[in-house]
Amino acid sequence: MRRFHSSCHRAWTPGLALLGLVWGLLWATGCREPERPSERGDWKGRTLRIGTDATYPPFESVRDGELAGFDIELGALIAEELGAKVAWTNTSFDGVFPALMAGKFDLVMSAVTMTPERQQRLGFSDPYYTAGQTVAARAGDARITGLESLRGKVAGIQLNTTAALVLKQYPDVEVRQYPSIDLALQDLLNGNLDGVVGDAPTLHYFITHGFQGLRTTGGLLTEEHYGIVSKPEDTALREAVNGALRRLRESGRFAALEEKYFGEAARRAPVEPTGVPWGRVARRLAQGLALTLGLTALSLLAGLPLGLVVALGRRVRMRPLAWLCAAYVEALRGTPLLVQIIFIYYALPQLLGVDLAPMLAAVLALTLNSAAYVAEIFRAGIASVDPGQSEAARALGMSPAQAMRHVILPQAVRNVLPPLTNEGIALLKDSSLVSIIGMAELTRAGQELASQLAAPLAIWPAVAVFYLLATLPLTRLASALERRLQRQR
Amino acid sequence: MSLVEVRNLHKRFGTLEVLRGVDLTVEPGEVVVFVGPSGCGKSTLLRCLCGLEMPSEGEVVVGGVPVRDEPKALQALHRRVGMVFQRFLLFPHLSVLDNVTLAPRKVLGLPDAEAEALGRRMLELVHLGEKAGAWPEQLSGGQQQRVAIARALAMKPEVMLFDEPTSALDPELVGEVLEVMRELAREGMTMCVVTHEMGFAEDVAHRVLFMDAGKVVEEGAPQQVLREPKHPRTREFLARLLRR
Ligand SMILES: Nc1ncnc2c1ncn2[C@@H]1O[C@H](COP(=O)(O)OP(=O)(O)OP(=O)(O)O)[C@@H](O)[C@H]1O
Ligand SMILES: [Mg+2]
Repeated sequence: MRRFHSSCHRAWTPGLALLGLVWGLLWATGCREPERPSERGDWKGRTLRIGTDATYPPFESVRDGELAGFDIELGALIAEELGAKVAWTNTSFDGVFPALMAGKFDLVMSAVTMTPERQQRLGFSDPYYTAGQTVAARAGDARITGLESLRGKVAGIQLNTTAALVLKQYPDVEVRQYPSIDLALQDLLNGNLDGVVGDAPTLHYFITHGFQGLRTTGGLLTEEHYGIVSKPEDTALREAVNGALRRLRESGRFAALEEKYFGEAARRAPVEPTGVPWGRVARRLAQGLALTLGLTALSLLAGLPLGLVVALGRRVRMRPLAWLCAAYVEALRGTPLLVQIIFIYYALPQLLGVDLAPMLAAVLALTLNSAAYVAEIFRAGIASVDPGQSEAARALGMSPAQAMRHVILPQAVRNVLPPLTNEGIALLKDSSLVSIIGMAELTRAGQELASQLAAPLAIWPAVAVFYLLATLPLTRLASALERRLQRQR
Repeated sequence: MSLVEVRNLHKRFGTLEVLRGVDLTVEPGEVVVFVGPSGCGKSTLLRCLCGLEMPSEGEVVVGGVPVRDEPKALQALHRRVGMVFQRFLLFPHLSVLDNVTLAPRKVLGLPDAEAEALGRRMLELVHLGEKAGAWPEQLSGGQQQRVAIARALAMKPEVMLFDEPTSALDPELVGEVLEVMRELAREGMTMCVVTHEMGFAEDVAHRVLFMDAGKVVEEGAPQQVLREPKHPRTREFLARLLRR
């Protein structure tokens, strides 16, 4: 596949080096947001904007179309303490910190573990939750009693999470990494792993909600702290948040919230009836599909004429213009779409001082990207028309532009229909990358459902079916169109 | 003044010199036939006459106007010179009638109704009035070439160039195309024709030019050049042609 994206979660992966690059850019330009209310520490009557990645129950997930979880309720309590309103942005974990740095929101509450590395770049509140790693195993597998018992066996973890640090001390445990914890648990259930090491509350949530064949093995292996993240220079907001946390602890409301999510009652609570609520899932996926289709259609609609202009621009006699068009194609084909999306949404506003809404940034990025591919398709289509055709047109007195418009392009269109359809299908699938700027399109909807329902095995095939629902008619349409044009000649 | 005047025309493609000093005049109403071995530069000469190639050296003057590499001047030249190609080169995405009317509509700006009437007249001229609504691919080669002739005629050119118009055709289809060209000549059209159809040359041409290696080696009345050639290269070429 020409565009590749590895989704990752809760962690810095090598793939995120590019985000570091964007960060560097933001620092280098020395851009500072205009003074925000947070710097005055007074939030009364204002809106506290918080980013989160709602695929991590019980801390944050999407339930019945609404954000729910420990972090979500805590965020609401903090806002209440500050006298502020709260506005959530649900975005992928990959994108949540760049968005914070770009001033898209004020705080990140997303079960963020405080690590020395992160503390160097981000501002953390006082810790508000103590988590730890534990081991999950199959219910019937009595051999696994904890970390020691995994020696000489195979353990799964989520990519680059703190579990990796724990397992470093056990070199005789074979470690397999997964992009998300539900996939690791699924592989454990399938018998390919002996255990999974991960955050205890999350493992517990998944086991009670979708993986009944698994169990956790008692004690916590580590002590880790979650913190609320702000920009490093945003000290006033950080103090306001710490003050709110303190008051919530003193009033007992914090303890009540902890009890609700992690207390004995929560542990003992009857497990929700299992089985996937298909009606709700289908509705949510249909919404995601609608957004995917809308994004793709808008981007294609704008990318087709733009691509045609670029393709024609490469043929004009004016050298600088032709060169510019060629450079455009090379730049957009030679860089990953993910980088382009991140650049347009996070970096461009800082460089130009314009703020793009996520939808606009998404359409812009997909349009600019697809236009480059469309331009190449048109170029090849034009080149494949018999050069004699253009000579015949010129010999009749047509200008080069008239020959292009009336003789060459109509014939090129036939040649470009199949590759254009492929581009449309590729774009439809690649549009999943805009989830990094918080667009809840089909893939993102699938991620949220899979984690919330703890049912990746049911959700991902359903997501595939929804993609097929969109791509199959597209290929059909294209071949019908081709047949009709074929008949016409 | 002559309609076409070519003086000391040289044409080079890189280091390859295809035309090495051609002089030629064509009078209004004259039919000139070019013969010569493959690669001697016949097509290149015609392409220089209609402005598809620019002279490397020397001059091409059509109707008193020298050919220049300038878009507007070139388009004007294209309009006065009609070209018929060996491979027909009809526009496959347009109907037969639209093939004929496209240039009159777009280049001359004729209104649709007028262009259509013109197109139908031109198709009658090549005896294809009933094929106006057909697609090029539904026609035989001979019919396609006649449409190509009608297409060129629709621009009311002052001179028509034919580059081996029948050599891509099955033998039984050659006659219908030559017949149309005969009629054109009879009407007084000025024509430059590259062909190996010796019967046509003898009947229709006012003058035959024999070309070899980028030069006109011999020229004269058809009877003289084709029956009593003076130049050894001409004799050799005709002998080979007749033996075939
Ligand atoms: N655009 C071009 N670039 C390079 N060489 C060319 C080009 N056009 C023609 N030539 C060369 O010029 C020479 C003369 O070609 P031309 O087509 O004029 O010959 P011709 O007399 O028409 O031959 P034929 O009877 O085979 O059609 C050939 O060697 C050909 O390869
Ligand atoms: Mg030739």
